[in-house]
Amino acid sequence: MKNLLYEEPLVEGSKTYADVNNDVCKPLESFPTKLWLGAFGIANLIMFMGFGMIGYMIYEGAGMSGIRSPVGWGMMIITFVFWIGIGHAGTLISAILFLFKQKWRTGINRSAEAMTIFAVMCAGIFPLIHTGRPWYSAYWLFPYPNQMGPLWVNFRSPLLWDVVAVSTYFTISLVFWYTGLVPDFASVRDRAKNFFRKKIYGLLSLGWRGSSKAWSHYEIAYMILAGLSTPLVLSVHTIVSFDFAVSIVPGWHTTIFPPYFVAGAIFSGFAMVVTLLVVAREVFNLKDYITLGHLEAMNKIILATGMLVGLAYATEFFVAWYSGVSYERFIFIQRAMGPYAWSYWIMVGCNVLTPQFFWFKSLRRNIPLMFVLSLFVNVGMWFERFVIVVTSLATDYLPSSWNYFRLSWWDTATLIGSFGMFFSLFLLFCRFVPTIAMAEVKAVIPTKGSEHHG
Amino acid sequence: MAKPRFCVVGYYFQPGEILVAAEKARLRNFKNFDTFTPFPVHGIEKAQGLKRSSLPYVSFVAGCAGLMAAVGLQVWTHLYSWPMNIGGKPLAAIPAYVPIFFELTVLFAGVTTVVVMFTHYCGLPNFSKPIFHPDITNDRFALAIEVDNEDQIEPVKKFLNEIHAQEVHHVEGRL
Repeated sequence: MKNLLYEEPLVEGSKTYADVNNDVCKPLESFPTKLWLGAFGIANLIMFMGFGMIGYMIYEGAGMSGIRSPVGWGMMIITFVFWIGIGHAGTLISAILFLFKQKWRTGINRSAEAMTIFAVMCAGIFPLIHTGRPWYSAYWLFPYPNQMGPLWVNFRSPLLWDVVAVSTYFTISLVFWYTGLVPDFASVRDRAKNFFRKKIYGLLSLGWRGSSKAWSHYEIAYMILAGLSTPLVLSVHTIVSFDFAVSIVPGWHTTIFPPYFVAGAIFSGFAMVVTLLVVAREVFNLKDYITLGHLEAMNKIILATGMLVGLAYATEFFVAWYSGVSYERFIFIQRAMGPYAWSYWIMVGCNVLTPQFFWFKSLRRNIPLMFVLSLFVNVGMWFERFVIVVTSLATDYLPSSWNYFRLSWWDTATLIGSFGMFFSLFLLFCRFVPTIAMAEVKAVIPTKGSEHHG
Repeated sequence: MAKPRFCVVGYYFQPGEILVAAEKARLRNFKNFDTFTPFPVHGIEKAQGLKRSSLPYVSFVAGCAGLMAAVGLQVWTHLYSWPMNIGGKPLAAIPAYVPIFFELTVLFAGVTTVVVMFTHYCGLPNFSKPIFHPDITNDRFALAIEVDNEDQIEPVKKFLNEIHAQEVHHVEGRL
């Protein structure tokens, strides 16, 4: 019989403390490989193409986008919600799993948090372009004293809550990430042989020396940040869902939206973490730190949240019928069988069916399979937002104004451009920042018997 | 110029060893000593006699300040600066303000906690203090004891050797 008490080691290959530093810092200290340069070049090209498109779209006006009455929220809002959702896995790993003392988070939290920050940066672009005149957003989005009235933002609007929620989320994620990085930057500084390298990482490390007095405060601060981020991560997508749920549009005006959005966000975020880490552990040779056990644990979360999302889809339908509201019923029948049925079934196929493979242990630990499935989940989650935004708007209360929504060529190009930006930033991160939280991993390595270091 | 001070540093290679050494240093009643470790070693606070950080109080006050700021900003703009009557609903619509109450509370508390922790509690950024050994951020555990004058260096070194430090040296500078 299998030993049920056996626990998989969190770090494989019986590493010493020094091995951790050597392995993790290696990509930072060697010349970039051709693979990295090629990937970075392509990602950059796509990113700048996206920026060019955005520039042209701003120059010509928002009409370049596919938004036509009655679909006033097109690709921009869909993609905004998509990227914000992606970010959620990072905060969940760094904050919630920390509070639950899930030690397997140490191998993946650094890269997941980086992913969060980059995803939120990508997300932030879209509402700004969507405004059409982003240079006015200072007073559209943030309350600042001015001479136009006084003219203030409307604090009763969910769109403003969203601005505050997303900017708070970004700031706190960045602070959390940096806090975790300080001791690791000090490690890089102390290894550095090059003068500038030493100075730059020295500055970033703030002069951290690993004093236990400092560690005692540091650990408390980390705990407090985790405590603050836990409700924050749940609140961000809740508030994003308020953008929809507080309106009176059929299909949007439902109380299930906050938990449904949060579950979907974590689902898509973990899928993105799996996509990135399956590649990163291979390329940067970090298989001993990001083990199959880590990936399996993430796949379990993908399965659980995928089931939650599936339950939410079913509940929505049930409530639409049970409410007896004819508009609500109509919208849901339209979703499954109307002109956008193709997108609805892509969504259900990708988000409800694909995770079912993860019921089996051998499939949860199958790397090519999980990579493909994680891509499916990402596609499915983009389509989930497409279904929510487009189906409810395209067939609105006035049948005479119904219209079929299509992404314009510019929409597609900016969407792809945001992926270019995301991957460019992630590749830079892999080159210049320790991708594994070294200090945290050392704390979970089993200590060996007393031995002198040669 | 202030009198030069010295730090006598002993090195260990296992977290368990530094715990024992820190405890012994505390029992010897050294005025100023600290341990330096690559990662937070559990139990070192107790071994070294460190008090629990008062940082949570700072976070609490900052969080309250964030909440107050959110209340003040929203209520003041809608009640006094630019009252907007929307369907005869109350001007100060408290339920609608709750999301921003929460967000600003978290924002203020989080940022303040980290800034105060690094600057006030850890005394960072500080680039002038001696880094005893580059491997402290790698795989070494150091016990550093600050002494007032050169005469005390030798006895402290002897003490460190007695408590099984595997390497001992001294540097000029403060802890």
